[in-house]
Amino acid sequence: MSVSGKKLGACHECDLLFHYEPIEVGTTACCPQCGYILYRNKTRSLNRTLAWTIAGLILFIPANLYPIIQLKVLGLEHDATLFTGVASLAREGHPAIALLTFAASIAAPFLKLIILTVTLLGVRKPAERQARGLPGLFRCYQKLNTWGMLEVYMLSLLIAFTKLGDLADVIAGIGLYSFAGLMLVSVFCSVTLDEHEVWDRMETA
Amino acid sequence: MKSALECGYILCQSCNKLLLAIDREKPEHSLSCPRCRAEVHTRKPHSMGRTWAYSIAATILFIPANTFPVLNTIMLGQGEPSTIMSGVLQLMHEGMYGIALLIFIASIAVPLIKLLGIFYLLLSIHFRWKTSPLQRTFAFRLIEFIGRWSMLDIFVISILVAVVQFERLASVSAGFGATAFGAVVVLTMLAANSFDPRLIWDKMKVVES
Repeated sequence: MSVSGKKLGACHECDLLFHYEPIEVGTTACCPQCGYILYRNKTRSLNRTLAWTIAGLILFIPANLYPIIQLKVLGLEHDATLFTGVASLAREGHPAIALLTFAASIAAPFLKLIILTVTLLGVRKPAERQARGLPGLFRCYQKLNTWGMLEVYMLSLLIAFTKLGDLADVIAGIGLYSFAGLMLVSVFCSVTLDEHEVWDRMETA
Repeated sequence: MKSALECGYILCQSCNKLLLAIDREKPEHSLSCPRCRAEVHTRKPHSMGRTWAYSIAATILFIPANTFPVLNTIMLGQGEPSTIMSGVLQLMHEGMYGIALLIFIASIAVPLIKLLGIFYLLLSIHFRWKTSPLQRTFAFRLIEFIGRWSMLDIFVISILVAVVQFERLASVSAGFGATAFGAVVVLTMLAANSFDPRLIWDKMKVVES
């Protein structure tokens, strides 16, 4: 799709037609009508993102296996992993919020990491030899973006710590530090990822 | 400045590829993107109707979410159910003003602002109000961005339920209000998702011409 040699595009949020112009590394092209970020020039986006997704997948293991929070009251001890909350909500008869918590704190972040890793490895091949399901897979990643809420969960953990700190001894587990790392890594992933470049690599000539 | 629609193009919303609208007689004609194979529409299908439906449902559920208890705390055999607002007041009573403010903003202010904002956007399109489309686009972005933070209280509840399990000494369980509140958050997120901000700009063009 090109008129006078330049690729045409349209703004995602106001549908303004524009020409893709080459921009300097590290800069952003914004829509002149509504200010939406049209595209960015990110250096070595795909390889850097791949490094972060692999780091994320590694951190995912301790974040889920080790206790996040430990509580001591009058000699009694209780500790909880990420999944404990989901399980107790489901057991008590609140399947809807159990499912919501599971999706936002465990399932969506994990699927996002795994799908992104597969996609980034997949687009290293030329477009003609890529797996056929790759575009569909990457679309799943885009849809999951809304439902992964690691950063919100992190703030909830901090609130829970402060609330409980008044009543009992609260100890942060290895799981908490891994979870904090996982949250940061997932933020870095979305910062370094250039979705335009991923789609461009799936384009068959 | 012309929109892609006016020039006969359709933007694929998932991979940002610009396609030629072949069937211009029927703009709602479904087309699939040759690059990512997603279904392509000139505008999100039934965007207004779906956004109305989700936000009205969310408004209705906002009532039980605030009146039913979200958390039941049982300390030394004595039960004490608390709603979102009474939880905030309890925190203030205990001197934790920062957290009280945070919970109040995330659980009460944000859902209200979101719903009012969505209704404002919908009405402004319906009645072709002449308010600045740029401001309305910023309002939409704000609504989209703050939505997820309403989940804060739900997550706090799920953490408390997981940890505070000391039989008769102290235990915590979730109430029906929490499910209603979770539904409000999900519905408002779906409402923001189904809203098409390009409609704000489309209607402006109709007014101008």
